[in-house]
Amino acid sequence: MFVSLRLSGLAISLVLLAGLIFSGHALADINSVTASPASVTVPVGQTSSFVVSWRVNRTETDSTGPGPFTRLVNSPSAALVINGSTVATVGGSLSTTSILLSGATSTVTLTESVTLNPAQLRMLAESPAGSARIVRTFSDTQTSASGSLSVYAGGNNAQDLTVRRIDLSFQNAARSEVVEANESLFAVADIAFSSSGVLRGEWRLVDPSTSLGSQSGRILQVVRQSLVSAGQGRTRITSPKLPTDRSGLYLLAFAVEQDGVQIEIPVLRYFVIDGGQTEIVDPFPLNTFSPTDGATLSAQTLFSWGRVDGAMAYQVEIFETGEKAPLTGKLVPASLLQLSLSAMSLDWLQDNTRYQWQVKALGERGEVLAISAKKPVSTQ
Amino acid sequence: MKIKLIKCCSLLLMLFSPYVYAEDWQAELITEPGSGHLLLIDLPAELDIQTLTRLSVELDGIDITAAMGYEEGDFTYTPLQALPPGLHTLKLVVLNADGSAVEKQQWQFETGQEALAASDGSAEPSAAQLDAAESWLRSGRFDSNNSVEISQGLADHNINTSTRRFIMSGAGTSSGQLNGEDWQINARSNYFLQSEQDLSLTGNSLDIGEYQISARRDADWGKTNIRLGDQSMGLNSALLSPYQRRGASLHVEDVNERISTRAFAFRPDAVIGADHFTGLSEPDSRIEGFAASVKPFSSDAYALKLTSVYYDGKGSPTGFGISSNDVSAEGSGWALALDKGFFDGKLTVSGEYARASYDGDGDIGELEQEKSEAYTFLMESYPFESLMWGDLPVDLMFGLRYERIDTFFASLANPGLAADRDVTSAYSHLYWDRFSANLHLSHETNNVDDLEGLPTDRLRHANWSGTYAFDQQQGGWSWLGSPYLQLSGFVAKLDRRETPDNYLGVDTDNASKSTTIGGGANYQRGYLNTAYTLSEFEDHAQVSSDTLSRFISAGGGWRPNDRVSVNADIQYGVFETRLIADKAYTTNMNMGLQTILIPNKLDLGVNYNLNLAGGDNDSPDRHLMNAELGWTYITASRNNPGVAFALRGALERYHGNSGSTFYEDNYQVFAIVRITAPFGAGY
Repeated sequence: MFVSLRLSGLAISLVLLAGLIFSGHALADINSVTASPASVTVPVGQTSSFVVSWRVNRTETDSTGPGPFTRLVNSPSAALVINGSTVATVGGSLSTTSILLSGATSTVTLTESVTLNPAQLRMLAESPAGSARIVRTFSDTQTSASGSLSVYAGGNNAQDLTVRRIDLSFQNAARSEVVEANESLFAVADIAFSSSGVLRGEWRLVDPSTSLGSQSGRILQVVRQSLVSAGQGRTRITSPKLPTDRSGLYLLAFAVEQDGVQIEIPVLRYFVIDGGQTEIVDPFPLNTFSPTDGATLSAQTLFSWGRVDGAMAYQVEIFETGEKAPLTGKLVPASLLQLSLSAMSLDWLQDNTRYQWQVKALGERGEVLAISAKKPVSTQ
Repeated sequence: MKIKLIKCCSLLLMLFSPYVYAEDWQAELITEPGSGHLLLIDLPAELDIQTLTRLSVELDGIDITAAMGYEEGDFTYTPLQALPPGLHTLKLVVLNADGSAVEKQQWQFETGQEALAASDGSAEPSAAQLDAAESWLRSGRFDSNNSVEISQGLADHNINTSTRRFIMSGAGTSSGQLNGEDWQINARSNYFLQSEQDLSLTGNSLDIGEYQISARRDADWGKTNIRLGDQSMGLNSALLSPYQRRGASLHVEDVNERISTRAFAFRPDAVIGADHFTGLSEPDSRIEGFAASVKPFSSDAYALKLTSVYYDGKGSPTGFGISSNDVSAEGSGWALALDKGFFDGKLTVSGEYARASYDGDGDIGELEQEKSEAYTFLMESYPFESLMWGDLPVDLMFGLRYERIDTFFASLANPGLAADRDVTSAYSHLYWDRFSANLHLSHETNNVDDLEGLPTDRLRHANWSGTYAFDQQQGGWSWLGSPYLQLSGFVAKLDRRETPDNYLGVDTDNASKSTTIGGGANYQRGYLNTAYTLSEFEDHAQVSSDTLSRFISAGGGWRPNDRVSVNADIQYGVFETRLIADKAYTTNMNMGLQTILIPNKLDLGVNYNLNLAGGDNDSPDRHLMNAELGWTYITASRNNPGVAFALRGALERYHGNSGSTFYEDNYQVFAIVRITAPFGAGY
């Protein structure tokens, strides 16, 4: 009895399977395959992904019974076709089941993310516009049909503003810092981006009071900066003067808010050493006027800055990238708000090299009353 | 110890000094000469006035000529602040009429705890120290500053992290220097201690951060410099970023700086910690190359200079502090650059051709190696030498730059470089008296490789900025202190220049503009600043939404006396995404108070932060207050560790609103013992 039941179950399974695979010709039809969107524009240059939905419309023509009939709708791969030739396989297998009553018509939707690598994008860009398609052939085990979407190459501005890379470092290019209390410290986010728009970013800080426990950060500064490019661009965003008033471990991050490509938040650490203070020397920010960022230095380059009340002298300092101690500089009395470097100071500098400069306002006892952020300059 | 900045008086004295000519003369350095000065350069009485007016003095690389006094025929110097302990180098230099500088004499002297006291007139340097300095004998120094905090959690509430209650945390820096007659060795490093692995720098409880060891030799024929550790090449090239990486370099330069060569090897990724100590241990993560410069015709500063750069390597251009989707790649490149100055440097011209090969996924992927090119041409001019308007110097500069970077240009040693750009830009900078202004115009297109299926877009961009600083206000306007105004902005238009036949991809047609108006004021004991920015983005092609950003910020600091400091800043922004009618409000506020209740004994710091996000981006209000009360038991000084105790805590509150019902308070309190240990020695 048990054996006969098992045999009859097996027979039913085989019949069902045979019904799916060999249920006779013209028992089910795929009427059409359409892609949504019907065309995409993908930025050239780096790996690009986009989402496409395939809508497969089919009619159940099996009239051997009322149904429902279950059919497997599948497509083994997607092909990138250029000028009629398949140049790459760009998608994996897609499948779903379609259950219809006899004579019924319906549509199933299959969604996938298609990724084109730079080599494929290059082929796309090198081909005549309109000649590239992504093609999928779907089968419902009875019939098959193909659908396609057109693919066009576009500049990197064929998308929203996208941050591609954040390189976070302290202003002297270091990625870890140990500083004394109230020492001037800034960070720089070197940002590579695509397209144009308003960057929405935040400088976030975890103070020593929370770095040991909850690690709750606070927003040190909100950044809203317009970025424009013809496709790709790069910009540097300098942090506000970082807190160094209390000793302990600080964690610093720069976060961006954007749709689409997600990017992790880079984090730096710095530690403040307290030496015991008899007075608070927390320098104020100092504005500089000249030279412009990245200017080429010469004996004629003027360094200029805003007046600081109470200053007895100003000291312009030039730093090698990565160094904390100045390489050279010049000290002038407070009656001067600009200076040029002499040949003696310029002799310290190597040709064709990038440096940074800052100016300090010194008080009566040599204390630093105000300090500017370090700005880049270079030599020819 | 007040400085005597009598530059003008010095000049007058020099001009009226007896005219005496001397071909070969020697000066003498006298430290602690009395009269409150730290240094006195004893100049020969017979020195002629022409030479005297061309003398400059440099202390540790800083030109202090303008801060020197001229008393009874000698230069004197008294720094505003006592020099830091250690070895110092003083140079007496003659500036020639042709702009060159010739070192006349050099001295070394040491300041330490005793020497610092000596600057107050309480001790004298030893004869041995002076002899050693004057005869340029071997010397050295070592400095180290360290701090360790031992923390014990006293109380907490709703703290989700699994931090232990007992934590050790600390950090330090150490540096050393050895000097020989014509060589110098420097070493420096920072290091971190952290018992909590999540907070540690590298996952190790004790590890170095970054370090550098360098050796330099100044011989008669030139200079040699070897560096190991974290360093920057600092080169201006499309191939090489001036970023800091770990590795080794050798730099050799002849004495006239006509020939300069630099060989290097470093990791392409940013590393910290003792792992990969040299940066050279993994061939699959290493870039090797060289840079060489030669001035074939003259050693003049503006003479023609040829520079070549070459590198080859593989690895991932990511690492600590870098967020990107880059993977391990392979690449090489070479570049040739020319630089030349004309009209005594009034016009400088430079150009670079770079060629790079880049395989974005190295040996393992299917990407093929791309070969691409980049051209840069730069012309800058300071057309007027020593231009004066109304007896005030003027800095006026014009520049022209052309840059052409292939569509698929990528260099392993310059990650993040913006490719596919054909840019012509003109810019100008003006500074005069209290006014500065910048103007930048550019025209940029993409599809540099002129690919058949790719449309060509065009960006026209103009930006400007200007600052005016007023004099210190007097009388009824004195409350304004020393005010300044700032204005900056830009307009940009991006549209389609060429569309391929049969192209049905998205169009490009958008415009951006932004204006920032700001200002502020500086006071002897405080500052204020504020700015308002309006940024608008309109996408007529409907690729992305139109946006409008309005952002206002204000900040200030106040130091009513030497023991109290207060600072505050607030930012408020509205960001509209017009396509979906979304409007987000952001408010951020920081307030800080730092005070020394009892000098060298008791101090208090308090900080309050408020974050509000409203509108369509609504989230619970967040308040964070943290504070630390510190008691210094033993004040640290050089070679005498100090001990301090502190109570440190934070209170965080989430306050739900219409968009969220999330309410939560959490707090934590730690007791801390802090040991600070600065060390130093020199000989």
